[in-house]
Amino acid sequence: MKNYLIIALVALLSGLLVEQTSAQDSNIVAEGARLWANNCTRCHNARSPLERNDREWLTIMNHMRARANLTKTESAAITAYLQMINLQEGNNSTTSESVPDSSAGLKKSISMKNDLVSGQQLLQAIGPISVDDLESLKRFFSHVRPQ
Amino acid sequence: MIKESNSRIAAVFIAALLGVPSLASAQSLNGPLSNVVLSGYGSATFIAVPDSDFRNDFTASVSPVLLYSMGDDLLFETELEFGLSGELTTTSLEYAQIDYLGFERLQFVAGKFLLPFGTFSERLHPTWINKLPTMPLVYGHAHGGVAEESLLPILSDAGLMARYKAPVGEKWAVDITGWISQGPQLQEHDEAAESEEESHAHKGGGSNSQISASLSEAEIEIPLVGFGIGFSDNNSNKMLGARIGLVHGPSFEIYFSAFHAMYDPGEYLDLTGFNVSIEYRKSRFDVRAEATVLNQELEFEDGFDTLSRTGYYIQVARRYGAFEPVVRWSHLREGKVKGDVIRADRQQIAVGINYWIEPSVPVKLAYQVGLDGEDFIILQWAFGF
Repeated sequence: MKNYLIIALVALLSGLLVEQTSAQDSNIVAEGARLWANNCTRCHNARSPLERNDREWLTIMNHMRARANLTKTESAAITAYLQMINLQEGNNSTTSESVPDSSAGLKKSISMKNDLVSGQQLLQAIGPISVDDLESLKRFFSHVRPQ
Repeated sequence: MIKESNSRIAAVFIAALLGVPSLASAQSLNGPLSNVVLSGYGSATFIAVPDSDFRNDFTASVSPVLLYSMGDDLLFETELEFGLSGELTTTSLEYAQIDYLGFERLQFVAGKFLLPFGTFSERLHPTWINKLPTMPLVYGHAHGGVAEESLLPILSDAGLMARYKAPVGEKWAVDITGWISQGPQLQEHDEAAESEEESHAHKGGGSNSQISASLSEAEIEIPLVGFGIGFSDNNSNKMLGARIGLVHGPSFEIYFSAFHAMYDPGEYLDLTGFNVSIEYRKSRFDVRAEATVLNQELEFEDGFDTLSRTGYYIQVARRYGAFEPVVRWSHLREGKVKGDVIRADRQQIAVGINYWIEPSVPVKLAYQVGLDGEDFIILQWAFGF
């Protein structure tokens, strides 16, 4: 039981960190979606985000930034959007350590994404947690500052 | 010398491509900051001339693109083109450039790059992007950087380029690009290329015979000019060019481009180009048009004259689900020197229907009417990867 609580603690820590940074990250992704729609169909059909993994999209977006003359911020936002779509469809082969830091928000978004996936998998593995356990953990994490 | 250097380039590139997967799998190229991506496009094409003989050919091409990024700010990218033309396998180094992307709005490029003159050369010519299996007459068929029948080849040259983007209000942006490059050079008539042109005459590139007749009638020899045909400049002059555009993504873009260079060893003869490019997209409609003026100064015993030629095209496409009908009209106006017609007036209308299997995989069926020459039926399967 103690081991399960530690695991859940890690998972919920990840979830709370996502919650505290999600507003900024979701803004980046939303802006990326808008820029993707406005720029990625100017010359050709928009390619499916599932065609490439996260690392490849970083490199391809550098190429497209040069070709379409996008700004650094625009390119980073579109990349974040493409990589987030990959997450939702389970196509993610990137770890936070291997991703170059294009912006603090982007790297944290990718790191949190990986942690979220791990946390979800852990929660599924350990099964349901009681409401009392959750309330105890929430009170504990309310004193924890995000990294 | 050019073919020999192309063979060496091709050999090195093939060796690199074969080595990339094993290197990538060993993660010697993919590290914390670096990443390699193999991309590109290819096509398989069937061309037929609906005359009494029904001449027809299959052909294919592939253009691998290698991207190597180091962090967010540095990118090396290169594209090599392999194609079949007559009895030859043609090779071409489309671009090999280093991009510095460290600034927010400013980019620097060094190496050989697609020239930002108009938009077709730089952005729209890949087979999976071009909505028809043929090119507009302005660009048409080119051999080794020389536009022997059209106005210009797909423009690529070695030098330096800078790009800048500035917002104008919330929805508009100004797109500015400037470059300095090797510049156009006199190209000697190549007998091998001419025989290739003869065999290529029924492959959608038209015939060279009309030009030869004009030359013999007028007894005026127009020197051919090549772009990016070698890495040894024939003079100290460099090409200067710029493009400025207004972009309202995704619906509207307009660009004005110009370049100037001296193309002869003695630096007496000018070559200048001007281009206006417009793109409009609304709902499922896609409209593109370009107009190009090319002025080539010529020297004669009794003085100088200028061959001025104008070419333009307009293309309209509309999506209906996975299907996309396309129509393009191209016009190359006649060129005169000393009052004599040196280049005949030419027009083409191409009508096609595309079926998009995937966003980057179209099957294109087109009928091209040469209003002054042959018609073609073309079926092309293109693949962007």
